[in-house]
Amino acid sequence: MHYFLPYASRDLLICLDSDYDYLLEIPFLSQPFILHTYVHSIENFQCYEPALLEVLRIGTGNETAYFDFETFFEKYNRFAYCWLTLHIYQYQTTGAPIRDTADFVTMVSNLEETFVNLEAIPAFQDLLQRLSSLGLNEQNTYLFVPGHDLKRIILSIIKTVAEPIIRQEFAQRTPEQRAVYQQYQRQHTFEALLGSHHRFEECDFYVRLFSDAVITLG
Amino acid sequence: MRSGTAFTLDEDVQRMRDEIFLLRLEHAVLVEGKSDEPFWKHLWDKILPGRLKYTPTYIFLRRIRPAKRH
Repeated sequence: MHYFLPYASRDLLICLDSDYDYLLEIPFLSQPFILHTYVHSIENFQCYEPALLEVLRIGTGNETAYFDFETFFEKYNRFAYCWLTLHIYQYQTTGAPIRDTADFVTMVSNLEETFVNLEAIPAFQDLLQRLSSLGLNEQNTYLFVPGHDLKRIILSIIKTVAEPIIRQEFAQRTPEQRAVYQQYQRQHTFEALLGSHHRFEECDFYVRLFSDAVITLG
Repeated sequence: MRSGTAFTLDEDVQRMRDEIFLLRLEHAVLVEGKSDEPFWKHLWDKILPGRLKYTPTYIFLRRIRPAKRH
């Protein structure tokens, strides 16, 4: 389908997930009338951290439901930053493809050690500097890992946290109320809630995308 | 007859069909995959009113970008 790219125009707006192309600075993304997410994909916006507690609370129908997403992402980002920068470095130096995050867990044990060793290499320092100038840092790396993987993990966490809460909510209700609660849950699945919130509009990368879109049409 | 290009006949035929298809649309927004459409529609709905003469048609394609190594 790449032959659509030359036809991008005011009448044919092409909208893409950035995938890794933004961090790798692949030139076609900067062509006029091609809009891209900056973050890896739309799913990363759906998993925008400030939105997740609300998703949990709406999905369970419980305003006090809680999971410490902030701490989770602090830890996740620390490893994800090492993982992603190492993969980009390997890609740029050896051409090794950047994989999905399936090897994330197996790499965790020696990831930080490898990272520290590489930090002494000037070419790796340059890469970190370049990625930093693009907006990647240790606090927001979850936005740049493959979105489908991230969404699967986030959904798994939310559902695990929600399960006992939903059970408790169900037990507290009368039979009539339970039917209503079940209906509510069918209408507020966590998948749908992640896909329908707009909290990511406050994310810097979405602001940038929106600005690109406005400028594109003049 | 093309010369000096790597296109096969099949690719050229497909290209011509696509060109005809595109020319028939007033405005179009190409997105990757049906599931991406609501996100992009939400964004463009805030920007487009008054800027384009016609409401754009959303078209989802499996792939838009060039084949890549990574």
